[in-house]
Amino acid sequence: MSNQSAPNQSANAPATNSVAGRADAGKLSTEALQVLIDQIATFNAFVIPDGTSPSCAIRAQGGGGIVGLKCCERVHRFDIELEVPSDSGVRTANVLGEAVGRVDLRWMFIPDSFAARPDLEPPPTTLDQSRSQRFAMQEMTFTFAEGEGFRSFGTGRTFPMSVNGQPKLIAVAIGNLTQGFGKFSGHEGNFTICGEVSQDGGFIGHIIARVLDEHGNLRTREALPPPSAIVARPDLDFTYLMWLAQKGKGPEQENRPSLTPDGQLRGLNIPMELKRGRSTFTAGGSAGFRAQELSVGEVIGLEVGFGRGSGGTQDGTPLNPFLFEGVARYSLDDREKRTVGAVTTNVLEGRRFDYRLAAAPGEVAWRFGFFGPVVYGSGCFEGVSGIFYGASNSIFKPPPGAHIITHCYFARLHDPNGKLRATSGRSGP
Amino acid sequence: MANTQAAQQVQTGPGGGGAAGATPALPDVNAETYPFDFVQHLLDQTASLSLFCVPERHHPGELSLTPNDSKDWFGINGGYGLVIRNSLRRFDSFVQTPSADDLSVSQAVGESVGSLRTRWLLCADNCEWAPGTEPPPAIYDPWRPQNFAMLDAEFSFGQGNRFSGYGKGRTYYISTRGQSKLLGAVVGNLMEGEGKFRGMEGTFIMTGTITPELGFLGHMSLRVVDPEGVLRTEREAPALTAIADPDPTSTFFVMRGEKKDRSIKTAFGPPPGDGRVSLVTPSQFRAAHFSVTNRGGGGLRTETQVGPVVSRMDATVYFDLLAPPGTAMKPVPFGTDETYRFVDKRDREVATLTAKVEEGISFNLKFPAAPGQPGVRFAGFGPITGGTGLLEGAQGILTVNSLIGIAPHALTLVHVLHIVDPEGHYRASLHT
Repeated sequence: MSNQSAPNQSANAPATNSVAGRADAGKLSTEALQVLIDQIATFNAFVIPDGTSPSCAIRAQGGGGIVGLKCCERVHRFDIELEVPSDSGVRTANVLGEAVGRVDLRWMFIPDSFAARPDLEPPPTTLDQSRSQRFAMQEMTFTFAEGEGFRSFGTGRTFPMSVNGQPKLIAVAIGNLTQGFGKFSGHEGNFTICGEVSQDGGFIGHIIARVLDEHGNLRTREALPPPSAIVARPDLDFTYLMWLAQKGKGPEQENRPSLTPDGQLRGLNIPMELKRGRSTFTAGGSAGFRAQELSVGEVIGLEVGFGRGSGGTQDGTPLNPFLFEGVARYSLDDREKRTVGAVTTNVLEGRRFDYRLAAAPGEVAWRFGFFGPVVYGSGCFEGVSGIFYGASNSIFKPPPGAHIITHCYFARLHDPNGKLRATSGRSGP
Repeated sequence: MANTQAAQQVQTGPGGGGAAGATPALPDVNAETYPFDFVQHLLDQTASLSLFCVPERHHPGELSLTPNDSKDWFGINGGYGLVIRNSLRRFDSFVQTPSADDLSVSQAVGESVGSLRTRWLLCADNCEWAPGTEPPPAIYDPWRPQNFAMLDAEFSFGQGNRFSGYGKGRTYYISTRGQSKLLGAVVGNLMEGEGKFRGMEGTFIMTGTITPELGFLGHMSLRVVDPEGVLRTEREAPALTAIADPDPTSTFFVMRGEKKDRSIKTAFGPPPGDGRVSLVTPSQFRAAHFSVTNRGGGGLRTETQVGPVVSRMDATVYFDLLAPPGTAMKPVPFGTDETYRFVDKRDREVATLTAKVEEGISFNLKFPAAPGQPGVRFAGFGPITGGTGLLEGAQGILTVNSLIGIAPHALTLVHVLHIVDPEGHYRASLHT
């Protein structure tokens, strides 16, 4: 059930709904729980170094190698709108809008085995652009309007890639809100970033943030204005795709255990329906930060996936998130249900944080982020390379229990000829 | 003449180890249980196949790691492993006599002589050699070195000549001049053969590239103990019919190694300090043609032609002297450090290369014609770790596929240096 089917409210009202406040969660229907876990402010932003620093590199003492990045960057609106797939393939609009805030970041490269914490400064670790390395986002402070924003902490990985014969250092990470201020005060949430380290050591890329918003002070049902300016995106060799996934109906959509040849449980097989989705936000004017309610569109394909650690019973906390991984194949279909392209993706790193729903305190819900490579593409995705990532919220009960979920999926794909880019404007659901 | 005392003292590690008693008194590995030249002759009764694995044209997304349950999505190809479908092609790689300004290989891939079907299931770094069982899974991470188990390997060469195999492998992420490549290497054992492979013992080793289409593209060396000459022939194999180079970015130095003569002695070196011992073995390597064909009468057959010396090599082999003889179910692990000194026709050094075996397995080897003569067949792989001169900056993989006697320490070695060579620095035109 999408947010679009939530109880009627006026367009200008905060995006809350009638199930909020109910304590008898055990009696809540799957549809009601879906509404509750969708009480999320979802927004896509894009960050670009503000150019005030000639170099963002943090060097080791004594003038050694680069051990981290420290930068102030502009936060832009970023709209990603997937068109309905057609026999000509899959196309998406990427609209980089005006700057609406800033992010102050300080990332430190860390050893593979380092247990990163926000209160622990990692040992100096030199950047090696020839290999994949972990890094900790020691500081990642987003500021939208005066007094609005959040601090965060997280970890990620670099991935060296060759793009048009030139080396590029891709950076992907999962962050967790550690302190909100202004309208974000008291909110939990997480985000996933995907982009590249620029030549001056800054970060250029996309951020998908999902912030719990059970009281609706961050969301609106109002249609927000389109970007007031269109900015040239500095990583035009790449195209960003966004799609959603939710559980469909029927036995084909039920989760099933995956068993080893000797009958041991090794994980879960999880099918999903893929849907179009759209979100946008603004941060100017008297209303301050507002994220338009995530709109969930029509079914456009199928996910078949295996999750290792999916459904794990261990807690996920901000200091010790639950780790998971998995493989999935996403098939995108045209209106006639013919698959026009598919990608196989591996989640190398997934981090899950548990939370309680205010309106259903008996339910443990999950919010999580994840990333990994696109390992194979077929159809219109044949030969693609890039990174798959996302952020999601769910309530999970082992099979045959309910699995209520909304995934926000993204792929940053190398697309030098723009074959995945739509030329038209907004066509979202 | 037989030296039965030496034979009793040594069992079978890759260097010849395996003391019979609790106290690992170091045996004399150079003692001649049988005359050196006789043991060398027996070792040379090995069929050596040099093949090139070319991915078959298929849709990788339609292949499953769990073919018995295609709806178990653990089996999505590229997730927790790779479904490998290769044609096995004739391969000729002949190292040209080095000179001060040239170190090159004439290399050609020929017609198909067989096929390989297998699953590579990724596993943790410490996953064990365990034929017939799936390892604890690990997800495919193209940027990290990862181990894998090679399961359900079926090698087929037509006319009922086939064998099943099991192996262990590892991926290697290589980055050079902004270009990255994922290499893969496998060492494995012939588990059960049919046709000409019935009852045979053999070892295979692979090194190559994992392609963006999730295939394996690279070299395979197979060596089969063949005292009856089932696979070996002295008939000249028909000329290879070259196809377009399926991998212009890799050069393979395929070389045949041996001791220069019986005067070359093997010595125990400093122990590495982990309970193992080390053996230091000098040898020399020659360019060689390893031909295999199934054309004409007689079916699958191999022929080896050895060329001039192109390199000298010092190897230090590390192994457990007390380990029981290696078997198909429980081979004995070993490691090596190797230094190759490529020499010109006047024996002057023109380049060096260092490499190591970090995943090595060894098996007991018996000689029906020489009862009591200890021996080992062994194979392994590891990274190239450095180079000088014409090989400065070389990156890639070393594979070794060898059979040796112990007391005397005679050798028949096939080493392959797989060098990532995107600009073709080490390529010569074929048969120049």
